[in-house]
Amino acid sequence: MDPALLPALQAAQETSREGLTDFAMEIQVQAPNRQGRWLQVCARPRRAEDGQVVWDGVATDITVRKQAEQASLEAERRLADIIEFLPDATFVIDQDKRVVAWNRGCELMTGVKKESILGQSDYAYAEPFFGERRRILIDLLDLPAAELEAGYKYILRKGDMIYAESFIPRLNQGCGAHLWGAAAPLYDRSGQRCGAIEVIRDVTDQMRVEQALRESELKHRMLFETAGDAILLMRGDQFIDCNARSLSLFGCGRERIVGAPPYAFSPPRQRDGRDSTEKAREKIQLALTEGPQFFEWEHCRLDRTPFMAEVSLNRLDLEGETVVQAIVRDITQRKHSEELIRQLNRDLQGHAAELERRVEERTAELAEARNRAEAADRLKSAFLATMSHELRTPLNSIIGFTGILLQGLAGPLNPEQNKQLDMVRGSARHLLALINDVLDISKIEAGQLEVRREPFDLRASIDKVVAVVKPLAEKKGLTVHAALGPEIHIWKSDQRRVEQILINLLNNAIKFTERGGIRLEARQESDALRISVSDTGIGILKEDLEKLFQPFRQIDTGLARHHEGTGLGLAICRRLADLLGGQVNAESESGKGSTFTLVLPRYQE
Amino acid sequence: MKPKILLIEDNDQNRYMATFLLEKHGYEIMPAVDGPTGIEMAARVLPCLILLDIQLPMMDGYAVARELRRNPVLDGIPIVAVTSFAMMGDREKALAAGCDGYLEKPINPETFVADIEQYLRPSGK
Repeated sequence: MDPALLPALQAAQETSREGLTDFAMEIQVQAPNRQGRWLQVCARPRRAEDGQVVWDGVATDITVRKQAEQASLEAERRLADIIEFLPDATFVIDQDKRVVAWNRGCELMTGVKKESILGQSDYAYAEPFFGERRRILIDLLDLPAAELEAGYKYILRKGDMIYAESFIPRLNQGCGAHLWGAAAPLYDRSGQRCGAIEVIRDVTDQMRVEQALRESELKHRMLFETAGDAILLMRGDQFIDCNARSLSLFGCGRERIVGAPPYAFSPPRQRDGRDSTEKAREKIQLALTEGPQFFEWEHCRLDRTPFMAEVSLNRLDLEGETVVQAIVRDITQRKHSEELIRQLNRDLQGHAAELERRVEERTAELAEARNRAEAADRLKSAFLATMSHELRTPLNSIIGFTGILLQGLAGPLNPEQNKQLDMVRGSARHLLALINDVLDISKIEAGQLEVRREPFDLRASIDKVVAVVKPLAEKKGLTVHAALGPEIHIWKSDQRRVEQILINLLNNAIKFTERGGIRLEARQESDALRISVSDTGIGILKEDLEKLFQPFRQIDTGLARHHEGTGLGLAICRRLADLLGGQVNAESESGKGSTFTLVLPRYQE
Repeated sequence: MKPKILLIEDNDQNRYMATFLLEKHGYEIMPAVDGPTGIEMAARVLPCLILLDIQLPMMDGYAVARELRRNPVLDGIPIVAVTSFAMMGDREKALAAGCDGYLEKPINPETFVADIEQYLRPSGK
């Protein structure tokens, strides 16, 4: 017998003796065959006559039972070890819902050590997960509890096992954890229920990945489905998938497209005359071997309505499978627009040609008109020349014979005859002046008046014109004074026209002056000649100054009748000055006289 | 002997007036009504001056002047054009055709004779 047991044996024996109570003990003894044996000793004490306490009892060999118990204990320990090292959180309860196993996985997941929970009952295992003692998955093995099951995201019974998925907020330091759990009942050898096991796996990370994947897929699916172009996938030459736009484009349901070849939605022949089936297969082959293909294709809807499409074919390698993606864009509208633009272009070209033709026509008309105008102009010039001659010829007689008579060459005249003939001569001279002026202005306006640019003695010219007008002025009792700067000598211009202008200005001055005199001043400035004719006459209102230079516009002075003239003098002066590159200006103060100034530029040699 | 002036002028009144004026001043007038007659007379008469109207029937004054100038016998006889052509270039055309002077019609009776006499050669009268 194991000597270590001896004190216990003695103590038990003593107790039995003292109280005369039954003695019971399991004792391991060392048998001679060296095999340890277990004996169960039960004895009842009684006091013998001699006062000694003696025991009557039985020793039963319980070695077999003890060995079985030992083996069972061993097995339990091994099981606990296995459970301990399971990667998932696992715990086991016995029939009284006492925790008999709580592995490392449970400790890691909940932070609760096995020492503090093993042996506990009353739903102690729920506390680390839910913070309270309550029924959990493992308890559902024994009873269906609808309201409990409703707390799980997913729950499934399969045989006597139960699977569930739930989200436990307080785990993961309060971040929450998605748990996937499985619970199963445990039976002993005799088939009696002896407890239950629950295995829990944290699938939070997995869930996140799945979620992301789902979202990504959804996103791509949406892109695919909501694309404005029809997108179809083909395996070989059959459609295997298509998006929503494909349905509206081909005018049919998905079931009519999937499984059909692309040429099922094409007319028999393409516009280039090629067989649609053959050409489609060729394009698909090219997309597979040569790379993306872009081309225009005549498609048709299920109801055979044709439409033009722009197709791009791309080879896609999806998880080891090679498919062809077809993107089909309806370009009917674009084709229509292009045709419209071409039509507009043709129209535009037509209009442009028409316009050009009209411009040519009009140009021809204008050329014709110009020719006619030029012809008319030549006719006018010829007419003027003829008129001038024809009018002068009778005037020649009138002026000539009147002059002869007034000279007394044809015999003496009495004073009355003399006076009347003088009137005839005056009228004739006026008529001649009128003819000359009309001729001049006609020539200027027809652009036929040419001017010379030749040097002449300006001083002599001025002396000459002053001499010409002097008799007229003296007749009216007016003085004519010329003030020429010493620099006035040779000037380059048209002598005859300069003289004509000056005579006109001087005659005008005399005509409109009753008292006082006329003053002609000539000065040569740096690059211009300035000759002014001033009078002490009636003057001109400011607003009338410009009218002076218009043909036939003698200012109504109320004295008009006294001032005979052609009304063309100043108009001619201004136009001649223009032709000579200069100008004629008028300044005046009503009642105090006027100054007309001829400015001529210097011509460079 | 009065100096002779050949007057080629188709207008009767003009011819009469010029004749009257010049005769009053002591000239003898040889009138011709057209160019060919004038040319014929010039060679025959050899006047001291020829007054030539430009606008003449059939043959105009420029042509007459050129024809007269072609005859060397008449060389030295002044020709004065008298014209109512007052268009630009008339004077130049007359001078280019061989005329020595140019008077515009209507003539001024007060100055007409003096105007003509300035073309007479000192030896002519």
